[in-house]
Amino acid sequence: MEIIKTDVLIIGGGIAGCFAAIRASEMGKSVMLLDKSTIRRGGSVGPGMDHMGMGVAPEGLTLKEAKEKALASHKELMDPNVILAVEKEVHPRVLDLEKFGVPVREDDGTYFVWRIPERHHVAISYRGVDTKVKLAEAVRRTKTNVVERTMAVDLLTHGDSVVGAVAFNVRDGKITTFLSKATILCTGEAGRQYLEPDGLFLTYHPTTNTGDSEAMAYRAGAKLANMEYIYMDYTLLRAGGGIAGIKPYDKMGILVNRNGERVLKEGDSTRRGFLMAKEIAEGRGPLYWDFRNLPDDILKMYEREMSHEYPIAKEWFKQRGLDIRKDLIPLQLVPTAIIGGLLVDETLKTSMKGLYSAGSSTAYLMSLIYAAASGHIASGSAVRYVSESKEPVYEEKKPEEIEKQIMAPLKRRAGTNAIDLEKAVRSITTDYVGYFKSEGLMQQGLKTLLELRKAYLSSLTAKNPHELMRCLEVRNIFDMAEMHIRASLMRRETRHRRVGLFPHYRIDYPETDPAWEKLVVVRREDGEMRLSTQEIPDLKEE
Amino acid sequence: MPVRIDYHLCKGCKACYTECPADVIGWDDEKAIPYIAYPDECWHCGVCKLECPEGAMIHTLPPQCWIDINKRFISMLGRKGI
Repeated sequence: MEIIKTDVLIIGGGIAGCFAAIRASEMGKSVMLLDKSTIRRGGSVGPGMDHMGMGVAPEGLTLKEAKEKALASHKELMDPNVILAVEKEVHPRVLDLEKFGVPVREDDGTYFVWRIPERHHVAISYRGVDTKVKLAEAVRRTKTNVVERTMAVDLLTHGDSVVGAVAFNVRDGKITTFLSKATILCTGEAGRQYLEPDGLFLTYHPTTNTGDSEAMAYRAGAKLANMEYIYMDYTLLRAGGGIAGIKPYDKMGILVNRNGERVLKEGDSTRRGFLMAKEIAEGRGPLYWDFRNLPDDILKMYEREMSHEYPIAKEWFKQRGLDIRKDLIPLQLVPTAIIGGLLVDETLKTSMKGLYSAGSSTAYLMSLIYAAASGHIASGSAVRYVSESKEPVYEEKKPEEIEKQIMAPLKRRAGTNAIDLEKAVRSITTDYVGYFKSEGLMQQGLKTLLELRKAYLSSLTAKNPHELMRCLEVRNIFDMAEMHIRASLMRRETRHRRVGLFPHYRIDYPETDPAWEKLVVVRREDGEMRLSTQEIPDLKEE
Repeated sequence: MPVRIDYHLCKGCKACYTECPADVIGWDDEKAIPYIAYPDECWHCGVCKLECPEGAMIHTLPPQCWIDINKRFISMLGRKGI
């Protein structure tokens, strides 16, 4: 097995990973950047994007507003210090993207913005179909070593330090050990956890995002938080949040139920995710967006955004004969991902030495520009750590042990198909946990999940490296599902986050309990999954 | 319906094979053409269509995406709902 040494190992080449790689390289450290697909078109922004937050800037938020946003994030179970630190780094990253050739501004040099004061948010609408292409080109101009089609499988540890990872190439099956002084995990949110309405692989977010960072970090002993939360987004014929998502209330169009009644009223937009779910749950679905009365200049922006955030959406509308100017547009609620992740502080350091995380792999962050800003911060912290640390020490037998374990499915002639097993796990989360959670069903679901793992996980079979990737993914999906169910059982209250798109609804505890304004933390100790609660830090005085 | 390749237009540049994020597209070395190796795993992100210089990638809206009733969501309600 090849062993490669590097100062900084970055796992995941999406927005966060690319920004982290650029900074660490520019600071003179050796960098290996791993991605399960490619850095040009991989990750959530690979197929295109249409909006990004602006952060603290003359045309964006004031520092006072950013602080208010950070303070408000406490009750949404986020560390306000992390939010403020990231928010301050947002606008410089917008300028970086411009420098890399992403057309963030209009032709006249101004930004086109959507202001959403009630969410302390200013979003730039831009022509971003090639955002990732330009960012990848910027990475290639540095000395970063890019290793594509390579999935990290497990972290290497020494005591409570992370000293690298074992990874395998999903096309040729080659296994490599990476030894690093610092490691940054940024493989996005954990999708493929629930059954999505259109089909097993017809997911809203990329199918590549299977919580690889979170599951690896869990197995290595790092702390994770907010694992009880799913990201329940709404899509319009597979088209994402852009069109009707990041908009002020009066530019959003009208959401109506099957009886033609208006669903969201003024002021409701900050909890819209829950109200949509409630409407459908109470039997008044399907829901439709009515954009027909919006002014022409707004509709033109909607159409432009559809051409940039996953432009394939435009094709779907055409094939189905839907026109936002003439028709009601059906809405689906999609259980997109488990949105929790690594517990980090404002330097993006995790609970383990030498381990950092950025973007949606963390317990708090999501969105393009938060990924960019947190990748940048994590990289700076990792580089500082590298400068003080010695050569990584590891158990020399460990990489071979991991290799033997991960290659086992290739050696089995008969056994369990990974996708069949994945479907079973996702049926458990969907049917036993679901949107409206209850103690009894979740206990039964957990029991079933553990029995299922015991019965099948060690009998997986794969014919080639691609199928082996699916086997390794389902192992991660199991770990994520177990964390999700246990954390959902522990949080005995109902609390919605992020305009209700991150729900935690306990039918047996339907009220929000101020005493629960704290984190459920998951960690592996002595081979067991242990849960505890932890207070959320207050915003530090500067 | 999975993504398809129009072989009349394909010139075998490998762009789709190189960039498909989900590793759904394979490469036939003998014929020097791409093929859809894992049709059931395509999530229709449209990357192959963006990358193909010949316009040879054909995406058709999968029939299950025509259903708007949120059936799967309703099954997530649990026993009582709200």
